[in-house]
Amino acid sequence: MPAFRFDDSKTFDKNWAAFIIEAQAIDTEMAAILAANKDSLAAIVRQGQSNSTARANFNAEVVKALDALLAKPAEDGGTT
Amino acid sequence: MSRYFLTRLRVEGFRGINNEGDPLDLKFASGAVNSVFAVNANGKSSLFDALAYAFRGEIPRLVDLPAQENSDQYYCNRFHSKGRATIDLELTPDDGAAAISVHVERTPTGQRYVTSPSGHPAPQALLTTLAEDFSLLDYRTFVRFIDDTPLIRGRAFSSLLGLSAYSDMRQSLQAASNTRALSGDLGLPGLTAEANAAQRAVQEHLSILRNSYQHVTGQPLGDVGRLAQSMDEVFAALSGVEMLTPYFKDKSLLDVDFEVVKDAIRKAEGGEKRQELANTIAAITGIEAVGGGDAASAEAERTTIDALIATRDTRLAATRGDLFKRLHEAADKFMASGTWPNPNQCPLCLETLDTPITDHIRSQLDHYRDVATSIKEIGDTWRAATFVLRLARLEKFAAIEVPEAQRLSGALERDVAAGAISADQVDAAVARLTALEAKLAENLASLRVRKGQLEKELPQSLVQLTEQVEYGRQFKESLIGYLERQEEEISIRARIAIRERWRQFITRATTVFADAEVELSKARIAAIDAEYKAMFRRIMNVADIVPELRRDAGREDLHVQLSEFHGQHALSARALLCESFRNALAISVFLAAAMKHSGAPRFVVMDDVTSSFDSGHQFALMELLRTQLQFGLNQNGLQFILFSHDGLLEKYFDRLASEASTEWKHYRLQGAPPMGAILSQSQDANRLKATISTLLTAGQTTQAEPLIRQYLEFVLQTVIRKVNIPVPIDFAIKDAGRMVSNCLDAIRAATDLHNKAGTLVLDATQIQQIDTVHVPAIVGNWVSHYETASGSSLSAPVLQGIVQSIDDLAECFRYDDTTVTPVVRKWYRSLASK
Repeated sequence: MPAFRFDDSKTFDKNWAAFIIEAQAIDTEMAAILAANKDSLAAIVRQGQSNSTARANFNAEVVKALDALLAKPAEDGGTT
Repeated sequence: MSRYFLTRLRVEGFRGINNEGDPLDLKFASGAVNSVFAVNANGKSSLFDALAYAFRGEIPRLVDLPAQENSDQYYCNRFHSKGRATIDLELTPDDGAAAISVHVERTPTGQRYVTSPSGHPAPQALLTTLAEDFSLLDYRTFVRFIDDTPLIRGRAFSSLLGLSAYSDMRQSLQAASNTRALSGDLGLPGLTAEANAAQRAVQEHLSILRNSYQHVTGQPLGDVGRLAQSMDEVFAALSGVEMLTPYFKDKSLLDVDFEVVKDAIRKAEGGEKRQELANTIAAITGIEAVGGGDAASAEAERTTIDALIATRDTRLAATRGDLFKRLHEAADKFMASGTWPNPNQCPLCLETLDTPITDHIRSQLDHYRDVATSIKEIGDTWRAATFVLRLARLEKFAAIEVPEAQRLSGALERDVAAGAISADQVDAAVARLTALEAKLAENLASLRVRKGQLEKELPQSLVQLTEQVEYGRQFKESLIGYLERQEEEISIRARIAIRERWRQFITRATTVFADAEVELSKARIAAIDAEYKAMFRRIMNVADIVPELRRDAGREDLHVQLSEFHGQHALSARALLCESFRNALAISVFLAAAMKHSGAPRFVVMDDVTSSFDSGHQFALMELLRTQLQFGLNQNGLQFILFSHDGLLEKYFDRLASEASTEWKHYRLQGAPPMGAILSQSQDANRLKATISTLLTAGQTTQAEPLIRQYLEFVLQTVIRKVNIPVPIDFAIKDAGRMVSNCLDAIRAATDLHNKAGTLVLDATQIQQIDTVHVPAIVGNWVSHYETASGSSLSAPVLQGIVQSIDDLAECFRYDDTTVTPVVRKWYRSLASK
């Protein structure tokens, strides 16, 4: 399988969408969480400046999403 | 996709541009190089800031200010009566479609509104697409490109290549997947400790279940997976005792109230010894539930913690205390601010270093981070250690009764949290645990002896019944506890597992993204290779110095080297090149990248990018823009808008604008910011004059005075520029409040000189009018009053007369060209020629 590459003729947003599709091959549910929290992720580094609070906020959002994912089967009548 | 030229900019009430009711208005040609010149503090940077705010929603240098400086309060002009800023842009698509107008407004309370008078459906989205890294550039960007470390340069270069979004996202992903931070952010150490605690509780409950089951049924507990059946067996054993049967009838084990059962036995065959037996059995089962310690595990854990403490102490020895830590943090922040010009010089002792001082600072700060990491590792290991948890439990265990003041656990936890735990303290903890284990074993032995004595003294049937009931109660309670804690452990393990799943995912995803970003960057570097080298050669007029950009494989680092330097190869560009060559290299790289860019903006605004160049190299760069890169002459080119305060460059701009007007459009800003208005040379000064007239007609002389001063300066400087009157080298930086007399002095000195030399082209009437009418009128009615502040305000008619005098004075430097039909009123070419 060829390595994933960005398409230079496409915008960043379109390449990000392609990357998310690639990431779904790693783990579909995790890729969905990553895609849903793109804005929080992008806030970690802006114009080369890193923000550790933004990183902690992003991971806090991820934790919420992971716990919600765990709770989902129980709510749907399944088991965890 | 349409790309856009910036064809008009109107600004009012923003930063230094007041222009209340009369916006500063600049029209830019798409097919020409546009230049805007202004002396210092005349609104040039405010224009650049206005564009930054329009496109990006913020001004980076204000955003960088500390929070206590309230930078939000400095966007709107502080002297505008409404405190409201407006920025109007006209964007013309390069596909021939109609121009789009966008209105950006910032209210006094900081709200931003974006609308489109021309009806564009999404004006904010349009502005966002224009916020490419190419659209706004300043000198600092180029300087830092060379002077920064390879890593920072690599990131900056991503911006120059239009890849900053990729670079930022790559760094964000790397930060989010950083093992050390991720573990803490996901709460994994805490969850692991919780899961281990739950697991231990499950094992303890299971131990009690096994023990109590055997006592009640006389059989060992079999498969723990069949606890429901075991519960039935315990129930059957107890409910089969005749005396107990009524209390078990029509119930399950979990419904039986054992206190009622025990009370019934007490009533049936009461006595202190029976009660003591029950208490003794309860105490024995309590100690049995605690179980025995694992000395081997404790020793292994102690060894691990001792090793971590030794590592911490070694790392601590490499640091120099809290004061130095704060010094290095402050130094790191200072160097990151970009205000220190020489990265290889210490800003404190001024010593010159072989490597950038930021490397040294960050190396020092890394020592402190290593210590913090060690402290965290010790804490995590300590809190998860079985012997530590057991010590805390035994010290609080009622059967041993260690007084609270003598307990070690709390004090040790505080020292661990503070990073101050020592190997001796760990040894003391293990020793205390060993002593408590011995005491526990001793207590258990004593209780068993006492139980034996009581069993001999009490009737056998009662002893057995009491034992059975007590063990039955323990079975029930442990079963409940076992099921609860087992469920809890499963839940925690699931949370740990899904976090581990995320960690694996984000780590792999980051690698995929980073690899793709590196390849994209390499491709763009290769695409501009020939172009930037050719531009550098042209700007600096050298053939035997050839720069080379090289990106590390798999890393963001970008190295700038010289592949050729007068016959030598692979040398450091930063070490060899002087400032102007370094900047020329950066500008060449940028321009080459900009020409390849395909984003929405088809314009580049550059603010003072030639400050380090001498006039020759400035000329070469400007000629490169004019003859090769601008859209007017190159169908694949860009629209350039240059802001400059360089007086020499302004002469070039001015000459080109007058001689090659289709290729170059030039503005000169003049005014009195931040309180008064700023005018552009191409703006109709009559609007200012009309405002003055309106104010004077209304008798508002105080409001008119600053506008009159602006008008006088504008007209006098126009005369100086049009007829090429020489001015002193410090003309532009002399006291701005005396600019009118500075201009008059320059004009009179020049006319006197030409007059005495017999070369003055002005006719006799013009000379006489200047000397005896206009200059005396302006000096007498304006200079002597307003520049010296020695007189009271003049009346409105007198001030109106001054405006007329300045217009008349300017007319003395013009003539009617009768060689053309119809006759044209023109400026003299100079004081000596038409």
